Amino acid sequence: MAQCKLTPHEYIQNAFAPQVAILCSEDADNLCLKNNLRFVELIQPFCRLNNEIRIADPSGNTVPIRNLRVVFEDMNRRPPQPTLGKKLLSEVVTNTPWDRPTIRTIGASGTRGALELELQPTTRWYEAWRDTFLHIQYPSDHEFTKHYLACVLVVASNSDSPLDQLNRLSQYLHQQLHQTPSRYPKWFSPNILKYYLLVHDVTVGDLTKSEQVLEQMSSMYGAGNCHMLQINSRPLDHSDIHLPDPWTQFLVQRASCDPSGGSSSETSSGTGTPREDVSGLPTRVTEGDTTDCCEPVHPLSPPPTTVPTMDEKNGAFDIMPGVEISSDVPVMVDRPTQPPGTPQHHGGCLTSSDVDRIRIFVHEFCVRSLIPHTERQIRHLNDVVTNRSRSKSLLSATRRWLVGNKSPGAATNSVIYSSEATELQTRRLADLCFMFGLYELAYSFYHTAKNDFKSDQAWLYFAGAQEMAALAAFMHNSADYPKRYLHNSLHTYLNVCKVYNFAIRATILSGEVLKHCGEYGEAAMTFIKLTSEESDLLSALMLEQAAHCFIHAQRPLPRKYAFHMTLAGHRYSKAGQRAHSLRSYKQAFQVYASRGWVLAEDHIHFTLGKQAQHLKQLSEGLTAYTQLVDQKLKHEAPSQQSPSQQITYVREFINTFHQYVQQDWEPSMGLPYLPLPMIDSQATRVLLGAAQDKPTSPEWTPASHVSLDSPPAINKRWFALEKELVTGASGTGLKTFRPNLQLLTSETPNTQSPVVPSNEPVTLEVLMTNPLAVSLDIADVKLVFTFMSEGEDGDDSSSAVYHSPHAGFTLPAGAQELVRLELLPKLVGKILIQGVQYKLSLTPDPSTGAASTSSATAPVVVEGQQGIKVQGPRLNSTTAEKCGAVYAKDNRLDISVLPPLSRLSVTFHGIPQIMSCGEMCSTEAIITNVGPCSVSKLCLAVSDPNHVYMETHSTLVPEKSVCVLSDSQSVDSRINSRVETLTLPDNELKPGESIRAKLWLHAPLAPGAFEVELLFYYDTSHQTGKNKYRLLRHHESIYVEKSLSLKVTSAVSQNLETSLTQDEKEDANYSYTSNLVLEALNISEVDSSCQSYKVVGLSSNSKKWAVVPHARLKVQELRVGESCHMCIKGVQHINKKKGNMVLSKYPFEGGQTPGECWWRFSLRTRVSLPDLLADPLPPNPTADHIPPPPTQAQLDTSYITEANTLDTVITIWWKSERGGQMTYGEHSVHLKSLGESVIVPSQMLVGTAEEEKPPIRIIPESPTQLLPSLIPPPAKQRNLVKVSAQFPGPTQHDFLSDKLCCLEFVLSLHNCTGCNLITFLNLSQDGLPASSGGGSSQMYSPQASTQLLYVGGTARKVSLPPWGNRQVPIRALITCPGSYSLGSFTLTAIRQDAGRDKTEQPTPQLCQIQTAVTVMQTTRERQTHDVR
Amino acid sequence: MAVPGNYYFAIIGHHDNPMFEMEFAPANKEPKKEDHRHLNQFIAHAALDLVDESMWTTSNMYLRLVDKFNEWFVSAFVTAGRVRFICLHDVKNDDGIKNFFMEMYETYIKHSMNPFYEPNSPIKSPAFDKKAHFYGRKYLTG
Repeated sequence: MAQCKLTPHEYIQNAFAPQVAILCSEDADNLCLKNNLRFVELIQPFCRLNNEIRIADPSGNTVPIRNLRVVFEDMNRRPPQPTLGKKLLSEVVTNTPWDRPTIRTIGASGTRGALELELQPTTRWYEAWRDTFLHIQYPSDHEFTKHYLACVLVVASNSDSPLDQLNRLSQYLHQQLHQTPSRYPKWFSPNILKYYLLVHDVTVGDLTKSEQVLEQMSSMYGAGNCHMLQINSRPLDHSDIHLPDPWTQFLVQRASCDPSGGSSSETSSGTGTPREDVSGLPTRVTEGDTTDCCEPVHPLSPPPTTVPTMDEKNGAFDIMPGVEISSDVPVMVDRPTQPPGTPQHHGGCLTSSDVDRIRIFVHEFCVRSLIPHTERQIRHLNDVVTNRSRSKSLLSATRRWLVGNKSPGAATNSVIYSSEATELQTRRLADLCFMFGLYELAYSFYHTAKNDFKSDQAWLYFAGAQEMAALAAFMHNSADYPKRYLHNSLHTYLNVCKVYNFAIRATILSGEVLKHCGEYGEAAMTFIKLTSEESDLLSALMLEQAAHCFIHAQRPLPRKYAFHMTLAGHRYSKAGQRAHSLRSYKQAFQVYASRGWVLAEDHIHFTLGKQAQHLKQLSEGLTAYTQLVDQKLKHEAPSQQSPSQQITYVREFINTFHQYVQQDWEPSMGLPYLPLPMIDSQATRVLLGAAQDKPTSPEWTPASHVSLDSPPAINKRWFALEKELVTGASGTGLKTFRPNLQLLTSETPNTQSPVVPSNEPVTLEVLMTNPLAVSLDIADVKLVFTFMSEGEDGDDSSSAVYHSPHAGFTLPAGAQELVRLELLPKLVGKILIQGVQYKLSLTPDPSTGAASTSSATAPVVVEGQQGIKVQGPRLNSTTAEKCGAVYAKDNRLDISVLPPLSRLSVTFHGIPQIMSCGEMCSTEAIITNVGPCSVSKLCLAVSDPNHVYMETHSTLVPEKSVCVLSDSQSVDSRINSRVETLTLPDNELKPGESIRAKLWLHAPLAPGAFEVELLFYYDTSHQTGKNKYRLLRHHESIYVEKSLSLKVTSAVSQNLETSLTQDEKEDANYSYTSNLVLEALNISEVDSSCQSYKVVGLSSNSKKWAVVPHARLKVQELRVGESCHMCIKGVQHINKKKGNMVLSKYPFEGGQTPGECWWRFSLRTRVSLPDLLADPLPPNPTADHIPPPPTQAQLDTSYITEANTLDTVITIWWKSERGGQMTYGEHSVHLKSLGESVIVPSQMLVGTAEEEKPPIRIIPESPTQLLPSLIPPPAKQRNLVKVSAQFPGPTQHDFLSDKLCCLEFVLSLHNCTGCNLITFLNLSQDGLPASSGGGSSQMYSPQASTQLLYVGGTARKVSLPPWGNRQVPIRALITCPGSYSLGSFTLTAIRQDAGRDKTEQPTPQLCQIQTAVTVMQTTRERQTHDVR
Repeated sequence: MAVPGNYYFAIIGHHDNPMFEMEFAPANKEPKKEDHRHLNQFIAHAALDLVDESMWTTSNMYLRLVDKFNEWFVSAFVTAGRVRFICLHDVKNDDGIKNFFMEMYETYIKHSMNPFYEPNSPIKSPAFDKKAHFYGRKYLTG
């Protein structure tokens, strides 16, 4: 709370305290000067009466006065001239210290609107200014409160003849009293109280002599008007400092007025007064230059003749002329300033009894002389006023009636009263009453005077009386006073009379009054009314008071407060009060801070910076400028300043920073922090280890490994690969897998500090962003880091870590730059990277540089650093983490250096950039150990083993058309991991040695990008727990273009053949065949690099199927859009061992195999690994159990499934030509079941029939079975039974003789499964045993011919044992000759056990035996047969 | 309806944060110097105190003139969600400002219904900008 020390009542009482002049002889002053005080100053602290005294009003009632204060002034004092006055006021404001601000919450705390503000508890500079302002006012003729009521004449007892001196002083006083009234000093009335004081020095003077003098004085001037004051009881030399010093606080205030006091005594020196040489400034006497008593007058003090000016006549001089006080002209140049902290001690010769005597003197003076004198005066004036007003009232009433009640308008102050005019006497009486606390009386007199002045249109007098009337009413009863009086008088002062001094005084007083009454808004308005263009200091003070009023109102207005504080700060700055300006802006900023008012904030920061810089508070200035240029916190509200303004900001910032570093910064603390440019710490990337060496031959390319340039790697994939590698290499599952990182970014898990072997570089990439519209130059970028050597003392970090700085660059407006900095550790230890340091400067503008080459000096360069702080991702697993914002640790900048490790380098030769779908190619790779240690284990993981394979030595397959691969040879078809171990010669790769390997690539059948991801794993000789292995990545992206599409359809063959076996005699079991139809279509684009493809052969691999061509196939060339069809036969091959694979191949005439490795990819087609990023399968809970023996149903199921299984990979080989080079490739199709049709690439599967999906049911028809039946659905139960017929050949029948021809043949039913089946054979097509309605609805006969009829048992139930055969004899009758299809019949097979399971429905199997029989009419003549 | 003059329009959120600012100057006059742009912010911000007081005295959203500083008048409008629209103007144009506020209110409501717009955050939509510009020309500067 900006509280004043005094209550408004006290303040008003003080402001209108009775004035007493002091006329002091030189001797008396000299006596007092032993105490470093003049007489006036000596009594200053004691001029307030602490006890209550009483005064009688004209009617004789006594009224108590509390705390009466009497102002003693040197009679010769003159208020300073306006310019000097301004300087004094300015200085007072500058010099007054202020308290620490206190924190206050505005608005209900805890709510959204609550604001914690640091507020100034008091505004002491304002109070000091206010007191000084009133003190330096010239007394005016329209009021008498500043006029001297009495005069105290002081002489010293030790002077030659005190009485003579007294006499001379009296004469001088008489002269002064009866001069022309416009001169100074002003007297209350010609008949003032004269009081005579004899000062007696106890140590020097003779008391008896002094008493004699006092007696003489008493006899001459009356005993009541004389007094003797004994001082200086203490000898001068041993002055005890520990006494309280009540003078200091008064002297501070007083000091500002001294020069004028001194100068006015000079003025009077010409008149030959006895005080002519009392000119020395008392404060100087003991300040060192004491000898120089005749101190020259202040050069700025007014010359003696100009003291009375025209303005003073009506008491108004303008203190607000347009003259500015420039702050760098020191006010009071010749006044030696007291060094702070060593205050001069006053009153060194005074004992406490002396002090008491002074008090007694003041009390005596007031009670014995002043009060009675005042009472007399009041009575006298009262008489005068009442007498004259009676005579005058008629006149004035008449005049009022004639003139009318005019309001103060455009009238001028033309009325001049004589000093004895009744109106003035009334006013005088009122002032006297007011000064001595008779407020009620004063109010009535003021009121009378006001009305008189108003009728006379003496506006200044009127305004004064009105103001005082209001104050008197307020002092009498603060609750009820005429508020409008204050307003009116202020308005009159300001607008009609244009006397700003009185307006200011009225504002100060009414402000206090209004604040006391709680009308803060009104008070603020009053203060604001007084602001004007002319006086900046006044405006600043008034605005600040207004601001405080806003914040202290019942409902605080913090935003108004902030605005007016800003305005006040602005005016303070214009008035040269930099410290106050800084303070005001700072206090205002609290309200604006971080709300997005960017322009306002920028203005405040810029001003703060400027003021602080001028005040040499560089760190504060730097903070403000930093806020201006720092854009880190301004994401929501970016700077809206124009580029030119931003340049100014940056330039000021750099200059201040430069000064700050030079003056205040301690180099031991490292470099100071810079806010520009912005460094995105999270984007910092750390690359460990060197890049792969460039091979000497340009045809060889190094492994891509990890680098800062490559596009961001899909870390998840590489980590998954690494995990598989580590799992595969260690052989056991890992509990916690932590990837071995080489490139650390914000995406990688950085909880462990990274490791790097010594002599391998660490590269740090820092992202610098320029957020401003200003171009910046950055030079000499270095890393700030510490190195701690392991074991030994790590003080020589310079030799332990070789550091290569970045030369620098220009960062244009809004640009980003990636800065790469490299460290090369030489010793084992720990590197902790803390930040970067660099030199920052503004880019010199070429346009302005050309315009003013002379002034274009080199821009200021500052050096500073910025920290890099990284944090991991936010954690969200535990409750504590969910509730708070907890971030994982990020140790990417905390690097451990290990001893040197082995290092591999891999180079490849001729990896193609473009491939056709299904193309195969091999590239050579050389793996070299370039590190200092040997490698004993080398593994490789490929993300896609179906298409990438690396071998160190090639394996060939036997050159047989059908061969059975042994378990080890067919391992490719069973691979379950992406990891393979590369064999090393002697199980070790010594430093410098290299091995060669072949990398086989098989382009995938889908066009697009073919991502080849190779991850080499090799162990290190490092034995500690960390870093047991190292990794090397290679990533290659190959463009794959369209080539062929392959469609393979399998169909069931009803044929039964004896199976192919290795050993023909071994088992002459029945075997099954299938028909395979292949369709190859050239789907390549017209503009692709390969246009025509030649199909050169085919192959298959399966557990038991081998392919046999029906006919000899030739190489076929396919151009774009062409296709070819082939039909081959699949024959089952008895394969005893479970792991073995049957590999059959059939090169066409003139064709050959596509390279050595084709069969591996062909075998791998059947492998489909889980997706690299897929979660590992949860461990099967029943895995450990011994499975129970299979039930019959389970067995049956497996049999049924087996009967439908094909599980064959059909591969076609092709060759083509690209740019003169022959290319080979293969397309493989994996057929899983019989009757299936598969097409590759699979996206061609548009037109093929999809399996019809059942309608979606929202409410399930039947409750879902908890244990679903194992038996496959009826739709899958196909091909259980094969039917073949042993048909009769063409027959002849004599239809003429016998109308019916009877054909007999045998249907052979074969059970393909291992379960007992019941087969229903229905030849007549109607009345299936199970499906009742199906057949009857048919309106036509599905029979091929009505002339062929099956006879005998047309519906049969045949039970088939496992793999058993049944011959079913069939008889048909034909009525006329012709060719007959034996038609189709229905065959239904169902498991024997199915009866128990109601859900299982048999499916009719429509068997169409594609056989016809021809029956001819026997020719009677020649009975010949014709077989067809 | 439009009265040529200088206008400054701001939408102010719940934390006294400016969400949207725009200045309108008469078409024929060149825009004001940049040096005084911060003054608009100061005046608008200071007027919030009076807006917060006077919005309880009326049931209208449009509060008319709430404050005055030097040559600037401050008119205000408070939405149902207590988002405050402030308009600084150096000419009297009660009807125009009222209409402008109503249109901007509608535009603001539509914008705030965007699920990707976080309430109380600065409005950066170019469409909103365009609308404000259009209504400013229609009702304010002409």
